[in-house]
Amino acid sequence: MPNLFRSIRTRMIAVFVLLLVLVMGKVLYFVYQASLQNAQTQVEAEFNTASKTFAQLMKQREAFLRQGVEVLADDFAFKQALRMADLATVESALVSQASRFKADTAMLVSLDGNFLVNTKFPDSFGEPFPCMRMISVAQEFGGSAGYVRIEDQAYQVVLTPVLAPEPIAWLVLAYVVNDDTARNFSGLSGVGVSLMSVGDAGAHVLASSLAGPKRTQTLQWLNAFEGFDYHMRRVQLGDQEEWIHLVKLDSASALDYVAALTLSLDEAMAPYLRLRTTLLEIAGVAMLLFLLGAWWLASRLTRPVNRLVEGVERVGRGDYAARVAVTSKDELGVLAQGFNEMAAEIDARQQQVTYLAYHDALTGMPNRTAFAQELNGELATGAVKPGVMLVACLARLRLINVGLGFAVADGLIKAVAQRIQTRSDWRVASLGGEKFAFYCQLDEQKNRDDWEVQVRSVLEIPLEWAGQRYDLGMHLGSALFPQDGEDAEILLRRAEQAMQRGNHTVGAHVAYQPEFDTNGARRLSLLNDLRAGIEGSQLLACFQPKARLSDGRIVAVELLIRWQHPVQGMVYPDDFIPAAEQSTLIRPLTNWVIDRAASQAALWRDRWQGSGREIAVGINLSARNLADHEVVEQLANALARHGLPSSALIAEITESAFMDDAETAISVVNAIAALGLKVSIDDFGAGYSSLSLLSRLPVKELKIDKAFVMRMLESPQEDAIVKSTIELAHTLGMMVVAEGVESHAHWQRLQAYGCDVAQGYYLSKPIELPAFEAWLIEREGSEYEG
Amino acid sequence: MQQGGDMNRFWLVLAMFFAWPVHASELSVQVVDERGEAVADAVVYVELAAGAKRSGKPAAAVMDQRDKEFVPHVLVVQKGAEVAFPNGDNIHHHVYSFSGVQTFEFPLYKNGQRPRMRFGNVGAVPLGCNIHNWMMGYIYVVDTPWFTKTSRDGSAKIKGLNQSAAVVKVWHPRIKGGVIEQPYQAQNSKLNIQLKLKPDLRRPRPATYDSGIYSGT
Repeated sequence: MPNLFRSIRTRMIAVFVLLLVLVMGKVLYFVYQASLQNAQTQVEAEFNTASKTFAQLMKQREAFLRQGVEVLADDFAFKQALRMADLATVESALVSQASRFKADTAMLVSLDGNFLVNTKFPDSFGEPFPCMRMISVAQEFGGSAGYVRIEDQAYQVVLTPVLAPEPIAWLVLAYVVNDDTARNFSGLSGVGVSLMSVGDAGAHVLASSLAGPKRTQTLQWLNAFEGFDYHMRRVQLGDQEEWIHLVKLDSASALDYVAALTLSLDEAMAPYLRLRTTLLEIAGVAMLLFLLGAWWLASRLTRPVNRLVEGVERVGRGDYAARVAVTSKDELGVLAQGFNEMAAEIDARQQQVTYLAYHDALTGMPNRTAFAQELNGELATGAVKPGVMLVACLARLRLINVGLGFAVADGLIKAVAQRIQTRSDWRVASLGGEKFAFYCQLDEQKNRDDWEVQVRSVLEIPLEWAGQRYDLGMHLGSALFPQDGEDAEILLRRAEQAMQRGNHTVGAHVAYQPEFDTNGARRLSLLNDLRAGIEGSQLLACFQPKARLSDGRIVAVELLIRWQHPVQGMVYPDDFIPAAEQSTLIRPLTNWVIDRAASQAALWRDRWQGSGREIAVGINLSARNLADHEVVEQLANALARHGLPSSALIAEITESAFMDDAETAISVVNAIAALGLKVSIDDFGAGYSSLSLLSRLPVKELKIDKAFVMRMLESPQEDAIVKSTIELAHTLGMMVVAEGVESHAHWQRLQAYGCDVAQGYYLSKPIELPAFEAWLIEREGSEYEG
Repeated sequence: MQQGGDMNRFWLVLAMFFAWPVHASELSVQVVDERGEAVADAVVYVELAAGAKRSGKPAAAVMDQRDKEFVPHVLVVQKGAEVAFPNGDNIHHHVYSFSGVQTFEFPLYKNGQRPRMRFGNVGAVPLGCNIHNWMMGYIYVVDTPWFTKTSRDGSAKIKGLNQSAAVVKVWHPRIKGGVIEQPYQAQNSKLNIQLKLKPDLRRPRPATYDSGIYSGT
């Protein structure tokens, strides 16, 4: 539903319809109110008529009774019979008179008010007439009329004296007033009729035309009626409203006799309810027409808006040719025109972007993407002969870039590109800067070498540019389709890999070999996982002890990092450190190692405080770590954070770390030494380090490469190298650590040579912390226990 | 009117001779109803003391029917009097009485016929006409020579009373609770009597009867 109201059209329609509903509702309300009032007036009128009719009817009955009673009372023979106290005759006369006047009973009452005869109740002789007041009224006025109750049955009675010529008895003629009477009248007047007596003892309903639950409810209400307030009222009976009009009847009786005329609201309202239904139907039809009209109008209004929306959506989907056909002169027209202009601009820019996306900005040649896409499209057809992907790199261009500046380099690249493009039959691409790609079909006439010659003939000819002559030189890499790859991107990448293999040799041509790729791919995939590994606590620290040869005490440990890869299992640093060094991951990795070492050193210092025992923790720093001063900061921070003296950590550096940028590395190492850390040269002897370099470094320790130590027992040459290295180091004031100590024989030999510290499987391989501590305790006793 | 004994006359003379003049022979009665209005047709009579001799022969009386009414409405007669019922109208009447005092009936008779009836019992005899229901009259029979009835102004006078006068009685056709009695006291010659009356239950006379269509008058 809320979605529906997002559209302007439905909102407009909703507003219209709401207004219509309000207006119609108001009208309906007033019409209904008016008709309700009308109904009330009508009901009042109906009641008025009904009550008058009712009174009239009762008066008629009374007159009839009076006639009957007077005729008999005046009958001489009747009087004579009465005079003679011939009650049998009198009773027969009464019965006869009652039947003549269709009265329900005729009665003779003594002057003092006791029954002499009651034709309906023959046994009532001597019983008092039920309403003495009627007799006293008759004594006063020569007769009386009204209603009495005999045996819980209401009667309309007329009472007259029998004059002979003085009163000698009361003669009474009566009609029963029962449900039938009430129903008769109800049939005449259309209202419900109930008759009740009301006196000090409360109300009592004697007859009613009502039936069913309505009767029960109405009688219940009437029987509970109190007081003498006879007028019209509205009463809630059960679940419906009822109009009740109480009419007091003329009666000489002691009790009030009241006719309750009832009319249910529903009955009274029925015509008005029909009117209301009709009105509602009209309103419904009006609403429908209105809805259709509003829909039509809103659609007319919103059609241009919808077109605009459609246009915007098309542009959003990338269809920049979308234009909106709104020709009106109103605001929407202006908007549409603006939109069209904007779409045209976006279209133009998009075309430019597309051009840039597929062309090299400098040379205007197809770029890598365009080249790969086009070639792939062709390769996908399947009808392609074998081919060779050649990637050429202008070997000396970088030198020119550094020496003569970008302008010259760019000019040369453009010139080369022009030269390449003269060979319109070639499929070529600029891979950016000094690299170009060529894809050539192989057939009987031309093999890979032929194509190489062709390419060389274009690129290796010295270039004249701005009055200067340049020999740019080049080297090549190549990959074959389909052997080395069936996809342009793969072919390109492999050709580039091959080219890089021959990176530093001008004129080299390296053909792709499958083994080029495997290491790289594994490294790349590991690298992807490494970030998660660092963040997900997959890294482990292992510790390998270093023991002083003079007394066998453990003086230091080397911290070695392990990576518990979730899929590949334990990964050793040789497999992921080089990859990490080429990415930014080396930084968090270094941080992790330094922090781990420092926190462990701090833990041990706390535990062994006062025992005189100190174990320094050695950290391996890579070449990448020495490329800038960040590692110095990391080390200083770690020492400060854990409250460690600088002697607690040892920086172990391989000789190769000085190969790339020796000056920076030296300055970083100096800074580390200035912090107070012992700097140790790792794997000494494996590389081609020079003693002159060592002399420039603040090195306190040499670690003889394990290759020498492991073989020293068998090989006199190796033994000599170890021995002389120890001596040399001592001469230079350095401590010597022998790596790869595997046996007691090694231990003894090194001891004899005056070596300072031993490390190797003879002591322990690198193990995780709990195992290491357990080993330490076993070896040196409980003094290490916490 | 009546003859007392010698002794009576003696006492009378003596009494006149002595201090005050005696007008004891006359009784004035004023009869009013509860509202103080004059009551006409009230029968006033003075009964004799027990054993006193009644003198004279009861006078005959007439209860006429004129214009379909009993005339007079109330007739007082002494016990044993003969009452004639001459029909003064030119139509028939059917006079009857169901009273316990004297029950009789003169079925349909007309002018010229003059039925008579002697009333030997004391008491009220209501009269009706079987043809004209509204007609109602009373003959009141008393056992004393001293009787009369009030005039329109409610007053009545009885003269010639003597020593044997004992009880004053008042009756009226609509009296409530029977005859009013009061001991006669000679010095108290004026009596005011108040009556309680019942409502007049006579049926109203139908208007058409007055038109004379049937009566020819």
